[in-house]
Amino acid sequence: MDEPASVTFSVVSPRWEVLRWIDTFVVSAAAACVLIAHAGPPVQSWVMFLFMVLYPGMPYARMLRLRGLLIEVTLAIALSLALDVIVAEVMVYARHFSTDLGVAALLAIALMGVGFQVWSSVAARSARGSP
Amino acid sequence: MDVEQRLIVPDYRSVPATEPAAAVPQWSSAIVRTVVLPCLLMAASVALWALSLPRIDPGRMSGLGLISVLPPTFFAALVVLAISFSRAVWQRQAVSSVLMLHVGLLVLFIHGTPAIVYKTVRYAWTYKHIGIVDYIQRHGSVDLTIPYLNVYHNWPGFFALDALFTDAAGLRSALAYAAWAPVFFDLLYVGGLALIYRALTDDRRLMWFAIWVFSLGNWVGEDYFSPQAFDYFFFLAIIGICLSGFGRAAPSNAWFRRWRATAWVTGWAGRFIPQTASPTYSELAIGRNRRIGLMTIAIVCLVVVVSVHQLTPFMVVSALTLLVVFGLVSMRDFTLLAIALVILWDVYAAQAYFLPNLHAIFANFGQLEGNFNAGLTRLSALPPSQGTVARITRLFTGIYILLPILGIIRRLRHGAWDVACILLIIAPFPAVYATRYGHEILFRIFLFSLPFTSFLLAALVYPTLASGRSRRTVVASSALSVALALGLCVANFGQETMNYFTPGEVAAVKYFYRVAPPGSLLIEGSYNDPIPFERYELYTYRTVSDLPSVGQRLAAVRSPVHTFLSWSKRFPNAYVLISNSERAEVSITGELPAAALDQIQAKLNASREFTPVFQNQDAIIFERTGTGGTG
Repeated sequence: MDEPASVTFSVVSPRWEVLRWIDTFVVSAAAACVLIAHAGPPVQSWVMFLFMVLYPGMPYARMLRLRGLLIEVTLAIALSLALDVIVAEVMVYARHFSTDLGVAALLAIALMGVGFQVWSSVAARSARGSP
Repeated sequence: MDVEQRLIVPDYRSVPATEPAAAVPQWSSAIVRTVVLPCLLMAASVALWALSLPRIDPGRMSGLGLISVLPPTFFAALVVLAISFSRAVWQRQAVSSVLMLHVGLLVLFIHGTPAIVYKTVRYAWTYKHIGIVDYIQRHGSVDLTIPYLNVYHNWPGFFALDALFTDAAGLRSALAYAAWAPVFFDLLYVGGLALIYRALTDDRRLMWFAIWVFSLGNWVGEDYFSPQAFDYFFFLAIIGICLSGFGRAAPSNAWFRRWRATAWVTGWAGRFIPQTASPTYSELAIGRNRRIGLMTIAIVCLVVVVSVHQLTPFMVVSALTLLVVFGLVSMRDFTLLAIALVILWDVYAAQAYFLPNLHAIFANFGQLEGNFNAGLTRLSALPPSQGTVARITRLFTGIYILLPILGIIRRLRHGAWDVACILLIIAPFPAVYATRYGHEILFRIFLFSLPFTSFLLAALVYPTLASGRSRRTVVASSALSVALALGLCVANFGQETMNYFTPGEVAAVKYFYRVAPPGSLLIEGSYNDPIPFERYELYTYRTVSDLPSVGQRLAAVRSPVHTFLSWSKRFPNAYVLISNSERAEVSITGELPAAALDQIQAKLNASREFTPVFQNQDAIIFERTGTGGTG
């Protein structure tokens, strides 16, 4: 255990902690859909904005289980924007800039984070349930 | 205890924590006080602001800028919002989301108003940045040695991200959203500031009031669609992570003491650091796994900071170095990594820009007085309206220098010694010794100090958890907020005659892009045009006000036909653009005599070599007749 047992770090109760991957999954799926369907602005613009600003980093920020929604969201945005920049920059320097490839990479990062998040939540729950 | 670590502020530890950290009001009267009443006041301020918008006509601006056309209802909206916030933050059970909403509305009123009423994108440099995004969208890469604006090709992170977003969002150009960048960035800063302030204080009133004071003080206009605005958020995030996750309970500089050659520095520095500390706030309380997680995020952010902007990495390094040397954070290796990354990027990734321009970048190294004065306009040289704006802006900036000093004194009287804050205010100042940064270094130093001066200014009102409980505090903080809001309006909107481009000026530039064949030359009176935002590398640009010496500029004004013909000899087509925004800029900056552009326009009109091909009330475009060879 990293911290004293009396300290609650999560922004939600442990009961709901395990479900905190759903929004990432839904927004990632929506981002993939609007891109594939070429939904066009304003729907495509807003969905991609929401996804790129918040979600590549959200699952990883949540795994830190910090107290305070503002702090959690700030770290999620910082990590998301940083990952966006790194993905875009790698494509630029590789002279292989592709929107589909870039968004696919970000989706992969987000969904990998969801996997880690679910795994760590289930593991934490099991640890709490065991004697 | 929050996971976010605090630096040592002994007074907080000695005051009983009577408030729950994120209290939700339990009684109906408390809900009325903390939620219903602030929401009603906010609704009133939004109504007043919405009433103002149709009455703002930017085309009628005087020399005082946008403030000259803002109706009284706009200022009434700000006053109501300031009073509402001052009252809400003072409440014992203030609700964070209500306070956040106040800050969000302030950002919307100040930075959203130009985006709504202008119908064009603000700031000339925004268009240049959009031009780089457009380049990456079309080429999928950057050209490190491109002759014009090559600095951006060597730090392409922000532009690459925007190219990816613009395409992914189904938009044709970043012009579609760039006007809203200040609102977006200023809201982002709130999160970064919260991360920093929660490391510095337990007092939510102080934290939110400091965020409010920061939002009221951010007048320097570096929050537009630009890499520096983007990178500033990462500066805040990195400093916030350092203080939150790696702040030392007992300031330690043992590693530095071991370095015998500089042990005297450590001994000197150590005298300024309080040695009393609560072990509950030590870095160990956060846990190893979380520290690894936070460190990973900080490293990723650091990589981005280095690859996005030229100046910000130096500000990060300077701040980290001071915190580490004084033993306030345990991030020595991270600081060394930051230094290594900055050097690596500058001399390897950005060598095409950095090495050839090394002499120019540091041409003013060591010229402390010259670099300092370079950022200050000579008041006597300004038009009377701009002189008024400059004087009020200096007074406003002075408030952010003097009141924090009083804040330090007030906190010291309560036993709190904000070493981290003071060091972080000092951290950007070495830059003024090194460079002028295009005459902007003073503004950048103000910006990078602002989070910490704002904290100390707010601490003047809320120095400790136990103080600031009387109603006089509400009155004082309301008066301060209203004064700062009015000062911000003058400082932020005072040069809008230069920053605002009319639809007519944008139409002129679009005309140029429509008719000018690739390879053409465009001559501008000054840099202050909404250009170049598309296919920028296909054209060459020359600017009269950018000529290196005053003599050359005056010669170009005296005989523009001859000068422009000689410039355009090797180009198959040449155009000259003169606009009202150019006139506003040369009038404010004094780069050219006030009537210089009118003289140029009159002489071109009278010549046979140049013909007007586009004209409206805001801009005129001349085309050179014949071919370059005949000039």
